[in-house]
Amino acid sequence: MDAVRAIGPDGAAWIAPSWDEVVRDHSARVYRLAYRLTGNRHDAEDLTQEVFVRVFRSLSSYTPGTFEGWLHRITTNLFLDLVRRKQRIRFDALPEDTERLPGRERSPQQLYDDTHFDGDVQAALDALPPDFRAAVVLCDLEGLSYEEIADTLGVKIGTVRSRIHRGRSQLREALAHRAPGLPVLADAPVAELSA
Amino acid sequence: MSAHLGQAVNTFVDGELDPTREDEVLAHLAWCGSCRTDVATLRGFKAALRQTGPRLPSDLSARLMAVSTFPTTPVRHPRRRPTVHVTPHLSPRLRRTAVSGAFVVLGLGGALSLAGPPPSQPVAPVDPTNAGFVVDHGKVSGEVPFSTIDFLPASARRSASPAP
Repeated sequence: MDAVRAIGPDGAAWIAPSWDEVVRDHSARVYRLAYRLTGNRHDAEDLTQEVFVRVFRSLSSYTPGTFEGWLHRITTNLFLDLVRRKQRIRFDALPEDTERLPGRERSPQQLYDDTHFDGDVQAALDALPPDFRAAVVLCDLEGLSYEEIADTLGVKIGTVRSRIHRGRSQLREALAHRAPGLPVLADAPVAELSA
Repeated sequence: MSAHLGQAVNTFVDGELDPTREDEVLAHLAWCGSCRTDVATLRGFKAALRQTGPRLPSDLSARLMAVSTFPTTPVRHPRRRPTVHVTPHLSPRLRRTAVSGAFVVLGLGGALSLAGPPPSQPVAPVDPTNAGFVVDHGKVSGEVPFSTIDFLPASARRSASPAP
C-alpha cells in the first residue's frame, strides 16, 4: 500500500518510476503471489517474469493510483490463462491425474519446505481449484477486500464470497488430513464447521 | 446443538460483515468457544500465509531488471495484434501513378537526349536500361502502361517518328 502512495501521490504530480524502482518495489510481492498461485518456484519465476514483461510493455500507458491493483490483475489473470492452457494440453496428451504429479525434480529447498508448515499450506492450496485458489490467496495473502477481488478477477462479489467459503472449507479439510498436528489447526473442530 | 456461525466466520475475519451482523457475531463469540476457535484458526492461517513463503531469488531479481532490455516483441504468449508495416505498401493505383511519374521524368530525359545531349553524356547505354525496365514492368504488372508516353528505345523512336 505504501508503495502505491509513493509512486502515485493522488495521481497529481506523478513521475514515472524508473524500471529499477518498479522491480525493486514490487518484485517480491509479485513473486510471493505467483508462488502461492502456482505452487512451485519454477512456475512462480516464469509467471513473475511474464508479469514484469507485460508491465514493462504497458508502463507508458499506465495511469497512476492503481499500481498494485494492476499487478494483482495481471498476475492472477496470467496465472488463470496458464492453468487453462496447461489443462488443455494435458487433457490432450497426458493421463488425467497428471495435475497431481510433481512436474519436476524438487530442489533441496523445496524438499525442506514440503516437510514443514509451508509445504503443507502450499499443498493444501495446490489442491484447490485455481479459481478458488486465486480468490483465497488474494484475500488471505494480499489482504484484498471482496470487492477488490471481484474487480481483479472480473466476477461478481457473490461469486468471490462463495469461492472463498468453499475454498476455505476445502483447505481446512486438506490441512486437517495432511497435518493434524499443525499449530494453527491443533484445536480446530473441523467437523463442526460444516454444521 | 445451537447454530454456529458457519460461513459468517469467514466474512467476519475478512472484515466483510455489515455492522449489525458484526455485532451479532461478536455476541455469539462471547459465549461460543467453538466459533472462537474457528476465528482463531482462520486468523492463524492468514497470518501464517503472510509470514511464510519463499524469498525472491536473487537471480530472478536480475532477470527482472533485464526485462527493460528486452525487445518489445512478445516473449512467450504473444497476443495477436495488428502489425504496423513500416515499409509502404502502395495501392495499385498509387503505384501506377508513382511509376508513371518516374517515367515522365525518364521520358523527359529521353526528350532531352533527342534534343541533343552534351557530348560527354553518351545516350546509348541508357536506352537499353530503360527499355528493359519497360519490358520488366510489363511482365510484372501485366499491363501496357504509358500508352500516351513514348518510351521506346531512342533508336526505335527515331525510326518510328523521325525528329523534326
